[in-house]
Amino acid sequence: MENKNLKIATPTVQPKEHTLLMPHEKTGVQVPILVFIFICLAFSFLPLFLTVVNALKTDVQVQTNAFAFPKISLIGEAVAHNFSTAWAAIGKYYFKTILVALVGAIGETIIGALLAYILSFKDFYFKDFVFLLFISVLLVPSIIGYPILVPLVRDTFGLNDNYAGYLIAMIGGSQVMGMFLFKTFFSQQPKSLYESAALDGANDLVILTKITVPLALPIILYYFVGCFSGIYNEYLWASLILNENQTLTNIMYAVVDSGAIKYGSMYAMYLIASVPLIITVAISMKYFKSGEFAAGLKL
Amino acid sequence: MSLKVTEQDRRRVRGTTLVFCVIFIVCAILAAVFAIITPRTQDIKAIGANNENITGLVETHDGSTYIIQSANWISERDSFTGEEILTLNITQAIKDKLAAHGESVANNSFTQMRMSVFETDTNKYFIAYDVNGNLFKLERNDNGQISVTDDYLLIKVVNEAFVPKNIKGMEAIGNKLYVLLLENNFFYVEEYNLDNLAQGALKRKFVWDISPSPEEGYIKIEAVKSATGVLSFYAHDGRLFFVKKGGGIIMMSTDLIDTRYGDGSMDFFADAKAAFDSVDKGLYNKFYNEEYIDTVVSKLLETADKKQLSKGGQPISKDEIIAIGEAYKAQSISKKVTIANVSASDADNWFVLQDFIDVFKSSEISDSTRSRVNQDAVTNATAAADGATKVELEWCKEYDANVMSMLVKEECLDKDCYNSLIPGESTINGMIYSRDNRAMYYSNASDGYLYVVSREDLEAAEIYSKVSTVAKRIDAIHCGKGQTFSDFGNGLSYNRFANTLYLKFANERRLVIVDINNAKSDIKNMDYKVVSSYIGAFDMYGISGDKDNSVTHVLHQVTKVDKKGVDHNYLYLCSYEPERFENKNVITVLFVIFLILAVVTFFISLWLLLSLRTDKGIKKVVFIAKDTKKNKFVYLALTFFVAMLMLFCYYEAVGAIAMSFFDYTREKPAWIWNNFANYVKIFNDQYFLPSIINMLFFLVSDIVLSIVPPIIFAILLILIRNKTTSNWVRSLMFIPGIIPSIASMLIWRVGIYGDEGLLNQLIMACGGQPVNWLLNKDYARWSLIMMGFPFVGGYLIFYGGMMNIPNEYHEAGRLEGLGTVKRFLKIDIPLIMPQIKYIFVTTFIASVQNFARTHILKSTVVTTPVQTMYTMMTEQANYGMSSAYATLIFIFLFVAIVTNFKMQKQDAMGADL
Repeated sequence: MENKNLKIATPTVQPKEHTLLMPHEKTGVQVPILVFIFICLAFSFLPLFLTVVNALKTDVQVQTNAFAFPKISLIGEAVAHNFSTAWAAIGKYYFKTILVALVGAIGETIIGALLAYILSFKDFYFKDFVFLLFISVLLVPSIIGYPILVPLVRDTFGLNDNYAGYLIAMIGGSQVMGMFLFKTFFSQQPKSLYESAALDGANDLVILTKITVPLALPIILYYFVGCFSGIYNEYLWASLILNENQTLTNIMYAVVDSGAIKYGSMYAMYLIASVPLIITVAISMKYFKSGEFAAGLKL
Repeated sequence: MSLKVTEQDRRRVRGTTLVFCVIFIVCAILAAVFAIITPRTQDIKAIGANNENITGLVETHDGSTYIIQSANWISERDSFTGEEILTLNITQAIKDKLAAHGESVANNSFTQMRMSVFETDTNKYFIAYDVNGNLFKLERNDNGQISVTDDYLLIKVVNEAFVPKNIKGMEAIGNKLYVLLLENNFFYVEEYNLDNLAQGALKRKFVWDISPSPEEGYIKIEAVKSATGVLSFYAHDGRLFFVKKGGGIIMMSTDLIDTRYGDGSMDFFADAKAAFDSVDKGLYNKFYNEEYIDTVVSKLLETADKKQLSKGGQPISKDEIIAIGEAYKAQSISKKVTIANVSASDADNWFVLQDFIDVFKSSEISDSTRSRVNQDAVTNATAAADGATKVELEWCKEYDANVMSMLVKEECLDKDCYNSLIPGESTINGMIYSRDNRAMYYSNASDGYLYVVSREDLEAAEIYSKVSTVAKRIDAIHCGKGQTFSDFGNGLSYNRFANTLYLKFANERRLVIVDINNAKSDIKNMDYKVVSSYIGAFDMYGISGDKDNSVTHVLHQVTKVDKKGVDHNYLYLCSYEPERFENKNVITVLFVIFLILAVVTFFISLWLLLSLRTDKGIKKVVFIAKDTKKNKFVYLALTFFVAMLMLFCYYEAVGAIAMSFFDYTREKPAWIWNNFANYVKIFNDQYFLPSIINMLFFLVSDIVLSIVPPIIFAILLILIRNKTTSNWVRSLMFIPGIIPSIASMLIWRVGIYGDEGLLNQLIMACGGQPVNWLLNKDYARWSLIMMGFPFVGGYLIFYGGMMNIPNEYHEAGRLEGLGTVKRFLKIDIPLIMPQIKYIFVTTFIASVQNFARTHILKSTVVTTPVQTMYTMMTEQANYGMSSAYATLIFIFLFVAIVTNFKMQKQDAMGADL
């Protein structure tokens, strides 16, 4: 998988590369390109910049100039106030939400992978029908079913205000996306490996854990990370089904909306809430920087 | 496979067919059985000869029977079986009794009869009463028959001014009957002798409420009015407890004295009235003093000589001032005047005069007024008027007969005789007193827990302290949060025989049964039978349970809508057996499982039967059977996934589309066909077209912005000569992703677009006027689009796609003489078409469904169909309308995506050709 990148990095076809620059590699072209890229970068960083800078400022400073850098002398006082206020508002739900998102992401990934494995490698009569059954769901907007789903989970299952009810519907409703993504990648894996494994008498469990998953590990990780931040960032479903047991997203929206938390403390709260995502982003960065995964992406 | 069908195959297929048919029949029968034995609450409609509606529900002395009453009838029923024990036409029985005593029943129709049942240490009493305050005692003789006793109390209604006694509750201690009633807008409590009702009310008392007074050392006491209301009332062991609306508790001694002060007991109202009445002309307070009014009027006239007087911009003539003064005096002399029965014009006069008096007395009047009015004269007149009626009471400072309020000295208030507590931080919708536990119970709507206030704590509490400070939370008992009882706390009941509390919340089908002995609560879904087109507001009129707590009776209101759309309310009594309902969920699940099995086996059997007819069919069956046998674990695993899919995707989608044709709201949760009214309403909505335009606007902008800027960014990244820089940029581009999406939207809303946000700070720094970016129609849409600037976040997919293009293509292009720009246009972009299509389709779906954008940013001027759908679902709780919007969104997406796939297929075919 790496050698494609190497081809670009060390082109063997063009040995005179250093002496013969392509037109776009001339400095006159490179400078505007770099300027443009850095402007884009700067603007992409704007919300993060505001968050970090303002979390370190006192309320008065944020009000007067949100863009200014914090005064060093006041940082201690500002941090103490902002972060303690923010933690008081969301601390109770912080680890709960992370745990819920973890459990949900693990569930979604396992179910998606199992389903994709069956639909990719198993040969059975109703396979096409089952695949169609799953894939048709992609046409249905997920939001459409909430008027039915809410009473189902809340009253029929009796899981109102319960993280289990919150997760079960999310996992049940999202298996198609995982299946679809994984199936696309599983089917690109070399068939010969599977054939030889089958000849050696490996059962499905062995094939799945020893061949399929290791080969598709980046995409599984990609999906897992996506699921985690998806559940961590979920707003609508949580707002409908959870009441006292809240998720961070809803608590943050509620406290900002009611004006209970403002200015510096608000930004400190965002900063606290972004800590779990730092890990997911670090994983993404390690595995997906090259954009390799996008090669197999198609509908 | 082309082999002939063997006899063995045929036999096997026949056998399988038979097995499936048998399974189908068994499942169908089982499903039917479970459907039949599913426990349902039993609705007993109105009883009585004229099928009149039920007006009340009472528990009998031992909880073994219950009595339901309609306007004219009472009916005693077995608590368990619901069978009628006896029925009595109470109106007729009363009329017969009165006729036997030679009483006239003119003006007394005894129509709206109600009943209460008491058990004292020695006796059981049934009291029937009507709105006039007539009281009748019912007695059960040895034959079990119920008859009216001789010691009835008949209110002689003599004139039209008679004020009905609106009896709100009854309680008994020993042979004393305490009646809470609302008369002339004030709450009173009256005491009767249960052994002889004919004596009439022995004592009568206002229900006082206490609040702090601005005067040092004094407390304000005020009669409870209907507005502040008493929800429920209990009498036990020397105390009367009144639970106020909002959760305050008023305690009173059963002596019905207000306080013990000095040498003896005292009655606030009566004593103050006597003191003030003894004064000249019986004027209640200084504003009633004729002399004072005369002085004020003459002063006003003096002023009017000099300059036109006006009130609220309207000039007031001398005649008017005199008339106001006369009206004022007339009212004061009639004494019995209250604010409530002063007519509107009188009230105006009243306040006009009071205003002037206030102006005269005020030290803050303007200089111009001061010059017009001889201040000294007024001051003297006021002092004289005050002096003339000044009643020096040691314990009472101010006294106002109109609103029944006075200031009394703090030490006047004897806590043992009288106390009042405010709710504090709790949200209390009703409380109940348990005699056996000697405690008050309430559920706090703010946190949903049950709280208990013991009587000892209650009695020890300081005057005007908070209920929440004396209450103890029972952590084991949770009753559901944010719930309210119906008006007048009817959703709360206590069953002393089982030491059980019942809580029934307004507009909820759930009944909370709280077992106090075992400290556990059980939230049960009441399964009201839909007796009419829908069950409306579940207003409660009573709950009772029997001694083993095996049957609970709930009297609830059902609203029926007729064809003209008019609501009719009926009261229904439903019996509910918690034990029988224990298994309800299990039975329902079994029913559903067997129903599904029956349906599945039915189709399999049908297919097998049809296949049996031809050799080809049999061959196919044999093939599929072999395949299924081989893949049995696959199918077993798939059952789970398909079940999840059906439960959480198909059921919702099909249900929502079906629901879009019905009226279905939280208030009226029943499927009422409405002839496409939801769709008609949507298409006639003036905001529908703008919302569609907004949706398309966002759709186009989202698609363009999710494809064009990222591709440009990806191309530029590829063009960077220094690969280390490119590497760094790609790493850095991940970092903004650490902000949770909701936080980043809130940062845009508050930090960037907010009133004190970045943009407005910039504008103000440049000397401009701040702009409301999200609520100004001209800017809102663009502000929402610009959120996410510079839109390059999704570049990675395109970058990855382009990096994976084999270099041979580029070499070939270069040999053809393609420049950098043409290389991307002719080679790279066509080759990343799959990625572009992927982003196109996912963005298309996400954009149409994106409600968070308008919702989180609170840009109410920009509506989109999905935002309307969300509002319908959450704020308005109109699920039918919400589903209709969802269905329209679904149709739009479905058509768009299917068209897109078709076009792709045609393209592919064209390319192949």
